[in-house]
Amino acid sequence: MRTTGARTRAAGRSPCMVRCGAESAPNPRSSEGRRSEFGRELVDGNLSSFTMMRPANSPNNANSSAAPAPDQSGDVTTPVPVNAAFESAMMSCLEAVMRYARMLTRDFSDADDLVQETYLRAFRGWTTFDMASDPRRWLFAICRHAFLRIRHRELRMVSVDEELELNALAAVTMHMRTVDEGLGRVFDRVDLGPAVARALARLSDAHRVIVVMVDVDGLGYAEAATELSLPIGTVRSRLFRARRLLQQDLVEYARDAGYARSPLQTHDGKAAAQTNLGGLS
Amino acid sequence: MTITAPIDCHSAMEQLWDYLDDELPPDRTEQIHAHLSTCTGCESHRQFCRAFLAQIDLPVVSATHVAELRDKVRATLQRHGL
Repeated sequence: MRTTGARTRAAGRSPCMVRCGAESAPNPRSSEGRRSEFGRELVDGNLSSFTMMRPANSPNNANSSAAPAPDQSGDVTTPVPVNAAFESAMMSCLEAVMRYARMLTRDFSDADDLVQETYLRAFRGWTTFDMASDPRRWLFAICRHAFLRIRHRELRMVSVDEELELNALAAVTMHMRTVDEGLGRVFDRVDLGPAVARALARLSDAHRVIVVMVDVDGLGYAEAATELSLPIGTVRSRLFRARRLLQQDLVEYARDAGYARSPLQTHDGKAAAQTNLGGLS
Repeated sequence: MTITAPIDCHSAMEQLWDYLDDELPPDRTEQIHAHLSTCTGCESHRQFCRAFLAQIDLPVVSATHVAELRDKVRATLQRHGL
């Protein structure tokens, strides 16, 4: 029985909703002059090293050639407009890829560089794209791989604490406190979107990337571990720690924003312990 | 009919994230499911964590910035043959 998971939630997200073809004035703020080290690494190391992700006989290949193809009678037929197909399938996902890149990098300029790199890789690998698959997920994977290529070394560093720390029970303790404060249903009742973005940005790269991979992309622990070349136990403990830190951050935000009521007081002025999770010891 | 051995709150909560992420084998999933169906405290924590996970989503970006970046991406792709 597998009806509970974040995996299902991530896979069920709606496709991106941005219409392609929206025109605007050219960006006056060229990023060339303010390119970060991350951006330079992308540009310097990119593109020529891109390799096709699927075999050349992908279903999409029939539509991929820019050269006119002879038909059965030997006449030359009109080529399929590759660029229009790419435009239609991929550019409509740009906003989603942009949001994804920002979640990964935390930095707007780095995110823009990463998006450009993602689309360039996608264009060069376009013949390998299976038109029956989800373009957003394909672009997310390209984006994630480009990001991981740059940050791989630091993401692979493992501390002893991470191997040992599993935060499930600490999260229970925190939940008990939020119940005492009247914040037990805060995640159901308040849209914390901007606070979530800030809380994610405060996580280390190592923790944030795993949240993105598991909670946004819907990867399993083993898949994330393989992509990051980490033991699955490290992925698991980083994920749990990241979630606990996020929960703490969001609860503090909700408290500061006035969503909490005053803690229950006993007759002697001490905070009452509403430990309805009393079976835990 | 399979009879699942009961587990206590401590064990159930230790595995709650794995349960929510569908990372447990079916028999262990069934044990936790059975525990949650009878323990209001642990079920409350499951709901809390589930609602928390639903809050995790991609950040919002401005339409202006999307349009600007789309132009930059198009220009880059055109230089490479789009």
